[in-house]
Amino acid sequence: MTDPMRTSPLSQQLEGQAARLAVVQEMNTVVEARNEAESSAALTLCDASALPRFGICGPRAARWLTDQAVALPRAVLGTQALPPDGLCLRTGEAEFIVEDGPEGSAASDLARALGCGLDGVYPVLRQDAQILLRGEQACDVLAQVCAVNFRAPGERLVFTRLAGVSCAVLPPASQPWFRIWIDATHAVYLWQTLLQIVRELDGGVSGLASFFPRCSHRSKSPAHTKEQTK
Amino acid sequence: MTDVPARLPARSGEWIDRDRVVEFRFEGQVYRGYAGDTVTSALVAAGRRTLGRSFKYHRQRGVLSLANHDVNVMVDDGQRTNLRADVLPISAGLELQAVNTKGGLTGDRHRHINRMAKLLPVGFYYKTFHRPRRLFPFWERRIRALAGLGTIKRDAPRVETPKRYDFCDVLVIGAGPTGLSAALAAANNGAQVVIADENARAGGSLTHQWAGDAEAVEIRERLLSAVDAHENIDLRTGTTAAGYYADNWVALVDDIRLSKMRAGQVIVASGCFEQPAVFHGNDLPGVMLGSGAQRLLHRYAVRPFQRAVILAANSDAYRLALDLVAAGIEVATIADLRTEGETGPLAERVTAEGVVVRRGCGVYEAHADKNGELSGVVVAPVTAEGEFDLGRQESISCDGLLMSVGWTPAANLLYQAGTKMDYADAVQQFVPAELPDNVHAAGRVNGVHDLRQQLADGERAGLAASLALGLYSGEVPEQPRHEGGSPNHPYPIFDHPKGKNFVDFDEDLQLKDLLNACQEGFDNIELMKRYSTVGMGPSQGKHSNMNAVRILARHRGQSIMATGTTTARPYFHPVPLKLLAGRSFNPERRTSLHEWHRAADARFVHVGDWLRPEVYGAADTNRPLNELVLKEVTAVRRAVGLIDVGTLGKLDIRGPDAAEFLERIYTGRFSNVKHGRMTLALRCDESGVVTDDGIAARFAGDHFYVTASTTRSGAVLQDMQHWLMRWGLDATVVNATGHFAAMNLAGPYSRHVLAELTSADISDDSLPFGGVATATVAGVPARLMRVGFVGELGFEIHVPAQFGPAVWERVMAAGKQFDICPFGVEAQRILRLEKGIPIVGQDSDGLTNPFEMDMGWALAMSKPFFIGQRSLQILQRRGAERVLAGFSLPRDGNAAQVRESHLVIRDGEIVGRVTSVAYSPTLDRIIGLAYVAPAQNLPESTVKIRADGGVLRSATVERLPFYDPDDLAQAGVASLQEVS
Repeated sequence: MTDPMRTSPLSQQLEGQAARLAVVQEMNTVVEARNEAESSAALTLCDASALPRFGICGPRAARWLTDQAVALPRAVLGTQALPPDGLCLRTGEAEFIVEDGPEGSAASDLARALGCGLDGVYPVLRQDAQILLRGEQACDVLAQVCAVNFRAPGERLVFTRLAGVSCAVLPPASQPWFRIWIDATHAVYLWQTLLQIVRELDGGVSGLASFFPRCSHRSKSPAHTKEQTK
Repeated sequence: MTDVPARLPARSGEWIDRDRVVEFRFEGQVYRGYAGDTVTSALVAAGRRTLGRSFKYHRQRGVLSLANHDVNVMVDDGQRTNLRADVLPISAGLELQAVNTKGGLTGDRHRHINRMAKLLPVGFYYKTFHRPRRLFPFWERRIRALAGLGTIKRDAPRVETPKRYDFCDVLVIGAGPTGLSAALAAANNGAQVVIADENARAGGSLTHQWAGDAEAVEIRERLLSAVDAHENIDLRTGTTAAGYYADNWVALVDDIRLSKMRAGQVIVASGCFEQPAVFHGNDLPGVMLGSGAQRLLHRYAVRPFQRAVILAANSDAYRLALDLVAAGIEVATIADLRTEGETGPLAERVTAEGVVVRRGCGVYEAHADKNGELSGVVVAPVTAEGEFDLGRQESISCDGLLMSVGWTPAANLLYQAGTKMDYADAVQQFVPAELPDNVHAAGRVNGVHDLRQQLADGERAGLAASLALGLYSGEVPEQPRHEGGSPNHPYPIFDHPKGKNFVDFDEDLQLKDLLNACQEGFDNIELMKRYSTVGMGPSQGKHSNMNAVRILARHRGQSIMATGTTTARPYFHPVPLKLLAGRSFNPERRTSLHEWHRAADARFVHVGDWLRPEVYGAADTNRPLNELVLKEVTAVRRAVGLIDVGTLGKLDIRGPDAAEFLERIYTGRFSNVKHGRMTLALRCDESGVVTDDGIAARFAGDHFYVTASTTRSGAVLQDMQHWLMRWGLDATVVNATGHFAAMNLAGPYSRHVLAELTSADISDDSLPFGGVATATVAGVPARLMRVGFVGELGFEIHVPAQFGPAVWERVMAAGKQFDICPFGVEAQRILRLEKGIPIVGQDSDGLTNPFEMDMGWALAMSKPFFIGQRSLQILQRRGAERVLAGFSLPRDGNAAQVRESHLVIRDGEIVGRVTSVAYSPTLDRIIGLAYVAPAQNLPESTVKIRADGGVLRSATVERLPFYDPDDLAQAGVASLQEVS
C-alpha cells in the first residue's frame, strides 16, 4: 500500500489550471499555472496549502522551541524567517506556528520531537489552507473584502476577517506578497471570492514555483502523468 | 428636432464640451445637448420649462435647485428608475420618461388630482377608507397604485457593485473654496487627504456664484491647480458622503460603489442648501432657487428665461442679479423682504445696471400661463408682522422668478457624528456648538458665508486636523466671525387664501397642511414630521425641514432652538440599493471530503454554514429520494455505512486544569473519566436550558478532546474562551474543527472494515463502547472513538484534514467486501431517531431543560458548580411540565401526514409539539418524538396530534429507544447478517 497523500482543500478549484503539477511536501501541487503572468507586478493568487505547519502552545512552548534551536519572534504577532523559505509566527503570548517552505522539514521534525506533548507544551494540529496574493493591485483586492488598511506599512501578522471569514494575513515584508492562512473548511469560499475580484482586476492564478522557485524541480505527480498521457 | 434657443455663447469655466453634440430622447421627443450637460440643462436649453410632475397632486414642476435635489424631475431610462435629471449626464441613446405620470408628462391623466386638493388634506388616508372595513382592500389597491414614484424594473440585470474599504488621514467633505483650502492646509503638513464632492467637478460655489468677481475666478483656478498638483490629495468628484458612523467611518457613494472610508480626521465643508420661500405658486415651472439659475448660467451656459424677478433677503440675491444681467436677462425687479434692503458696493452695482429694487416687498403670488408655467408675479410690501399690504400690490410679467432668501447648513453628517448644534441669530442658522473629537466643520456649514472668510476657515480646519494627527505643532487661528447682515431670512413664509404655497415639494405639503398638523396636536417636530410626512420624501427635507421648523416655532411661539430639528440618520441622501448590497458574501464551509461527496453525486444540504451530503446518488432520477435514504439506513443496520462527521465542532482542551474547566462548563463529571474513555458533554446556559451536547474524550490526564454540534461549535468555543479567562484556570482551548477530518464508520461490519486499516487492537476488550484511542489508520495518525449515535457498532475516526480524502477512500475500499455504503444526514437522522436519541436544536428549543429531554441522568447535581446548576436545582424541584416522548402512528389508512412542529392536543389545549418524525424502514412504521404532558408519557397510551389539514390523528406512545432497547447492536454483540 502506498503512503497516503495530503490533499489541498483547493485542489478541485485548480483543476484544469495546472500547466505543471508536482508533489510538494506530500501534496499534489500546481507549481505552474496555465497563462501565468510573468511579471511580479501582475495580480495573482496561488494555493500554498502544501507548505506544512507545526503548531504549538502552552506556557512552556517558547522555551521548548528555543531548546530546539528555533529562532522565535519576540513580539506577539511577530514573524521570524527560518531559512531557506520557512517561517515562525508568534500567534499569541504562548502560541507559535512553524511553517516550512517547499523543501524544509522543520515542521515535521518538531512534530516528531514533541509527540503528543509535554507538561506545559502542547502540539496543535494546523491544517489551514494558505493563499498567496501578489501584485500591485493586491491591496485593492483586500480593500474589497477587509476593513484593515493593508496599505499602511506593517510587518506583523493581522488576525482579521476576509469576506466574512476569519483569517490570518501576513503583509509583504521579507517576501513581496500577502500570505493568507484560513481554516481549510472556508478555503474554497475564500478562494472563489478572491479569484472573482482578482479576475475583475485582470489578474489570474499562479503556481507555487512562481513564489518559491525551489519547488520547480520537483517530480511530476501521478495525476499529472495521467493527464499527460490522455 | 428642437432648437436650442437658450444656449449662451461659450463662457469661461463652463462644464460642457461644445465639440460633442449628444442626442437623447425625453418623453418620446429627440433633444440635443452637449457632452457635460445634464438632462435638465439640456432640456432647459431646448426651451422646456415643465420637466416633471409632483408626487401627490401631479402639478407641473421644473428646475428648483439643479443641485441633485430636484426630486420632482426624476426620470426612468427603461431599466433604472428615479434618476435625478438635474444631475444625470446625457448620453447618446438615452430614452427617458418622466416618472409618476399616467400617459406622459404633458397629458398626465392624474393631473386632475390637483383640482381635488381640498378633499385630500394631509393625513386624509389615516382618517378615511378604513370604514367600512370591507372596502379597505379596494381603497388600498387604488392608493398604492397612485402612490410612489418610479416603478422597479424586475427584469433589470443584476450588476455587482463591490463595496470597498478605504483609508485616509483626513477626509474633507466638500470641494468648495472651504474644502479645497482645508485639504491643502492638511496636505501641506503631510497628511494623506481625500476630498469627496457630489458634483461632477470641484469648486463648489466658485463654479457658479462668482457674480462677475474676477478674483473669485482666480481663487478657484489657484485652488484647483494646487489640489491637482498635490501628491497627498485624492480628489473624488461625483462622490457623496452619505452617512457618518462611529470612529470617523464615512460612507462614500459614487456611481459604481460604496466606499467605507475610515478617516483619522473628518472636515465637514459641505456648505449649505439654498432654501425656497413659501408663497402662492412657488412651485410653478419658472420659479427656482437663485443658485439653481446660476448653475444653469455658469456650468451649462443656459439662459433659462428672458425676464426675471428676484425675491431677495440677502446679498446673494444681488450677486445673482448681476449674473443675470451679464447673461442678457432682464431683471424686472428685486423684491427685497428686508426693509433696509442691501447697502454698499453690491447694491450700487445693481442699481447702476438699472435694476429696480423694491425694499420691504415680497411676492404675494405667482401666476401661470395657459401652459401652466410662470407668466408673472404680484409683489406687494410686507408689514413688520409679515402680512402683505395688498393695497399697494403690483403685477409684473416675467418668465423667471428666483428665490434668494436664505440657506440651511448641510449639517446632516455633523448631526450624525454627534455634533451639538446651536441656532445663531447673527446668521439665522444652526451652527456647530460642540464638535466630537476628530471632526471639524468649516465654511458655510459653520456659519461662515463670506468667500475670503471661508478660505480662512478652511485653512483653520486643515491646520486643526493636522495638529490632531501630530503633523503640525503651530498655532491654529481662531474661527472667522460672520460680518454684515444675515444671509438668511428668519421667516420667508407667507399665507395665501388659495393655498398652493408649498413647504415641501417632495410630498406636496402646503403651509396649511403643517398648520393643520399643529392644530391636531402634532406640534412636536418629530410628530409633525411623521404625521405630515414633511422631510420624508426623496430629498429628505433639504428644502423643507428648516421652513417646517420655522412654521412650528412660530405656531408654538417658541424659539427655533427650543423647537429643535428632526433626527438626521444615515443615509441623508438616497443611495441605490445595489450599492448597499455590494458583492454577496455568503461564507460557506466544506469538509475536506466534499469533493468525494460531489463525485458520488451527493445532494447537499445547508446545515448552518456547512454543506453536508443529505443523500447520495441523487442524480438517479428514477429512484425517489426517500428510497435512496432508506437504502442507506438499511445498509447501516445490516452491513456497514460511512458518514462524514467533519462538521462537528472539535476542541482540544489541554492543561492541568482541563478537567476542572470541563466540570464547570458541562453538567456531568469529568475529573473521574478514565484515560481512554469518553463521556457525554451536555451543556446548559445559566437558566438551565440545554444549549449543546457532544462527547468529551480523555486522551491524557491533561488532555480532553471535546466535540460540539455542527451549528453551535463557534458559540461553544467563544463561550469557553470567555469563561477560561474569567476563571483564570491553567488550561488552553484550541479550535480543531477545521483541522480534523472526521468520519463515522457504523454498522455490524464496521469493526471488520476498520481492522483492515489498522494494526491497533480494536476489539471490545481494548476499545469497548465509550472507549477512545489513538492509532494509525491507513497509515495516518488517528483518534478513534467507539460511539453509538446511530445505534450500531460504530467508530469515529478523526484524522488530520489534509489526509481526510485519502483515509476516506481507503475505508471505502476496505469496506467494499462488506457492501459499505456512504450515508448522508437524512439517513443519520432516521437512524438516531430509531435509537431514540434527541438532537439538541431539533428536539429541543430555547426553553428546553434536561429534565424535559429525560437527560436528568447527565446532571452531576452534587458538583460544587457548573453553569446552570442553580436554575436546574429549582427546575428539578418544580418538575417537568412537558416531556419528550416517543410515538408511532398506527396503520389506520389516515392520509393526513404528521410533520415536525405539528401540535400535540389534549382536551382541546396545546400541550406539546412533534420534534422529529420519519418512516423507519427497520421498524416498518412511522415513528417520532414529541413533547407531551408528563401524565401522557405512558407506553401504549394514545395522544392526539393535529396533522395536515387540521386532522386530529391518534398516535401511540412508545418506550424509547424504538430500536435495540438492550443496546446489543452498538455493543457489537448482535448477530451478523450475510452481505452479498
